[in-house]
Amino acid sequence: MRLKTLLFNSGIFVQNVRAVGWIFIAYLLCLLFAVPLRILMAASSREDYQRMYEFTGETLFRFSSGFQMILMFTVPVLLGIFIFRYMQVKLSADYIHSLPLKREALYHQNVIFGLGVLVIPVFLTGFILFILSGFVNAPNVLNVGTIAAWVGTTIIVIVFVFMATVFVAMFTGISVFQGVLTYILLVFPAGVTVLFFMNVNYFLRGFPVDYYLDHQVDRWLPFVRVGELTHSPFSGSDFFGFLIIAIVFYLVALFVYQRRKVEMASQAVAFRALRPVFLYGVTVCAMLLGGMYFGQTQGTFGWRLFGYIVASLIGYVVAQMILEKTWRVLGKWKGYGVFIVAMAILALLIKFDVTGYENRVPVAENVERVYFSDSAHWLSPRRQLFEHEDFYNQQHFYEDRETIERIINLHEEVVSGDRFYDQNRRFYRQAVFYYELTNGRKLVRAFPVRVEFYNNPNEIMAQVMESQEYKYNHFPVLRLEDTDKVNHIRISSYRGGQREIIITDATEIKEFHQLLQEDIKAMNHDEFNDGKSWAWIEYSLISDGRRNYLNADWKKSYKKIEAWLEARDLARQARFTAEDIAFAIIGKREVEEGIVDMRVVEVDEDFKEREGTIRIEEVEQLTVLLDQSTRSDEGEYIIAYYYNDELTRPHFESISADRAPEFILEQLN
Amino acid sequence: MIQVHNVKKEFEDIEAVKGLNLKIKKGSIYGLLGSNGAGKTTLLKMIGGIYKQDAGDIFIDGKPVFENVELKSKMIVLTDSLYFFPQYTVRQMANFYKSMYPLWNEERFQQLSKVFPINVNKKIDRMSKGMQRQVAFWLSLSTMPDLIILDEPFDGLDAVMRQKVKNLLVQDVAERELTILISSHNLREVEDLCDHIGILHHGEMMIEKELDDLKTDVHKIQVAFKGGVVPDGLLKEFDILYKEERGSVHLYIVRGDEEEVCAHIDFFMPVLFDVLPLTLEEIFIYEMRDVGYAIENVIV
Repeated sequence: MRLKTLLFNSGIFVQNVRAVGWIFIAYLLCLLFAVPLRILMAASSREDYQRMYEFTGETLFRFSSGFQMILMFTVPVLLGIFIFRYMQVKLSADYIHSLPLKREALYHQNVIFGLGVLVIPVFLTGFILFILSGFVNAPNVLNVGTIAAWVGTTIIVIVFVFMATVFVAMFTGISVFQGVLTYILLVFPAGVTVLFFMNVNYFLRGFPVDYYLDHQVDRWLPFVRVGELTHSPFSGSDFFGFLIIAIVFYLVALFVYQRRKVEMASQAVAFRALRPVFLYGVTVCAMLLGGMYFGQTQGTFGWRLFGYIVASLIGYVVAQMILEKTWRVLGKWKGYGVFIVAMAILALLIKFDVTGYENRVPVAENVERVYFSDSAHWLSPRRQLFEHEDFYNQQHFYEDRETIERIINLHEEVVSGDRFYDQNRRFYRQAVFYYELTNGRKLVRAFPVRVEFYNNPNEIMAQVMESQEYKYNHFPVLRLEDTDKVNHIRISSYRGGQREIIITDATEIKEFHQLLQEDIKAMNHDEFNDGKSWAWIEYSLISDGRRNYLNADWKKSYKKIEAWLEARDLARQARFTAEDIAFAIIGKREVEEGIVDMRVVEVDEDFKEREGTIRIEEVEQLTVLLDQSTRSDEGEYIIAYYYNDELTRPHFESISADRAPEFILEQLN
Repeated sequence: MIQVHNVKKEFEDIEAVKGLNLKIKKGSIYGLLGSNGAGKTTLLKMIGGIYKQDAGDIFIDGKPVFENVELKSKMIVLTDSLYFFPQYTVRQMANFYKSMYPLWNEERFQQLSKVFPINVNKKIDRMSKGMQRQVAFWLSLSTMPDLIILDEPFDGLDAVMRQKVKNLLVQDVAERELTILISSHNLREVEDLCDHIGILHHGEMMIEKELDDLKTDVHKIQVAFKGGVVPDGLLKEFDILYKEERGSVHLYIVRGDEEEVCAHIDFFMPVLFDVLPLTLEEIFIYEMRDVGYAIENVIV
């Protein structure tokens, strides 16, 4: 009898059936339409239905995937609002709570009823799918495993969303607000994290915002995870995560319900103690959002400040309006004043860096290894590259003591260097330092640096670049020890046309590889960045039955391979020389004009006739030009090479003023 | 039966009930009077276990009432605005009460259908306000409660129905010791029903009286003496609530035993001496003037 009254009251049950029974029916119909009917429709109208996208995965979430997702995130919310509607309307709240029912019993009965409304249609649909599997031949989407996975996953998601709605119901007294807050709650953890990190980034120099945001933030969005169901099923930890959170919502909601005052029906926030939390929470979030918006679009401190103030003011006023349920909140400005002062103090604390965050640089002996790159991207755990793929890409971790010291030097130099502030500049690059310390902790910093940081390195950066480990990381060729796997090496000219050689002989490959490695190791930082290459080198490897390519440049500074190629008379087959060129036309680059434009636009044809250009035909001069010109967009002079052979279109390159030979400077000024 | 001890309740920034004490005996009909905003509804909802008091205790039969299923199953609260589930007929609502209140008496429900001329299969939310009131009484009385709490219960009922309902209530009090707590802003509406009256003002209990005491204790007297001179020592040993002179006729409102007062006045040999009937309202007017309030400000 006691248990019976605790869990079940027929009157409440009947009332719930009358109030939300339609959701049960509607949800069942929607599910039937979304999955079994879609399967039937496809299977009955097409011969090759098994090749349709929906039938190719081993999941039922591909059928009406968008609709299924919408159902998962709307039906439970709607249901939660309707079932707990009685709490949000003054009359019914008074009435229901005058009945001889304990809140706990009422809560359990309502929640269990709601779970039934959600879960039973899913089970019924699952059962129908099971029957359908006997008629429709689609073994990889219709089997006991996929149906069970579909039922289980759908249930865990809708239960999670339902419990979130119930949880929110206890904190507010307005049904509309309950719905809105539920969705806000679902995006809150990710949203607040993004807002917080983005804004800290504006104040704290060296804050590695990409590193933090790249890590896992969007995984905290249930929408995102559920959206991925079409191609990646829930793992055990996904199930567990959703389940644990749902249980926490369930327990907290019960606890809160027992302490909620009935008279809070129709109040936006049902607990007085939570009103300031709500008020200042909304204000802070609005402020951060405003700061982020103007930070990303305008960049300057002035605009950001504008964003902070205007957005926080709007947030404050709106929150006040919601709490007071009136437009007239102008009298309540004192709280905002307090807020502004508190935020100003906080901003100053961060700005003056009370914890010494900006200047913190580790001591070399405490560093296990360091990641140094222009991006935090390669640290992202999401990059699940295959091991062999990693080999062919640049690597970023350094373990050599000397390199670590050089990188720390560089870090110190960046810290003490110009407070180059990126937010108001459009072009900048990043220097990311990620230290794994011997005590198991990590120290991560990211700094915006000059565009030329890597291309035109200062002395300290040059030291890093000239370290053997940097080169080893930078050039996959250096990491390739065994040339047995190399099938062939192809060298093709960057300057277009049919200039290409292929080395297939194993001994030659070995020799070439050896010399290329020596050339790279001998390279200094100027050569590193001069952008001057003859040709493109591609190793074709076969390993584990898989073909891979490894790339390198034939830089003009690589004397050893040049000599080796010359000796075999291969060099002139792989690159253009002055003999191949009929003449070159040189003109000043106009502002905003780049090589890319030249290649794309039809100016090609007319470049010869362009005013103020000079024509070079002498072989010596052409040789100098070929040696100095690059494919960079930046050079002050544009060179069009007109080939002797069948090529009709010229090849465009550029040359910078400091490299330009005398005969250009004299004639073009 | 009901003990309210030092109960406080605040809403937002208003203190609705301030340290209130109240005792109601089983089988009595207690009238709670007060103007709008005096705190009547709040107090009733607290006694009904709907609101939880911020401080103090509310006991019914010696047990705290909040979240007490056992007490609430023998108790009905009829709030000033009635609530019924949408689209329910009287019969459906009765079934709901049947599932909710273990003492539900189907026989009584059938009997009462003779008192209330309403079709049980009619939807309640389409009825007039007065008919909804009748349904509320009908359902409430069928649950055979020990305590019934009525907040402005007669709104919308016509005079005939009002009397019928009053009779039903009194009958239950007499037959099975039903206790009734009834609130009103109108003294005249409840004076014929209640045996106890309490006046609530700004969240405080201003006066609490047993009506029988009141009526026997306070008297309105008209006296005149020869030559219009009031003898020394007249009514000296009595509590005079009010006095007034109309020419040579003096009007007194006096508290005390009727016989003693009459004997005392007779002793001075007045030329005119009448004991006049006193309405409940008048009693309160004078009593409250005593505590420094004009009744117009407190109740209508």
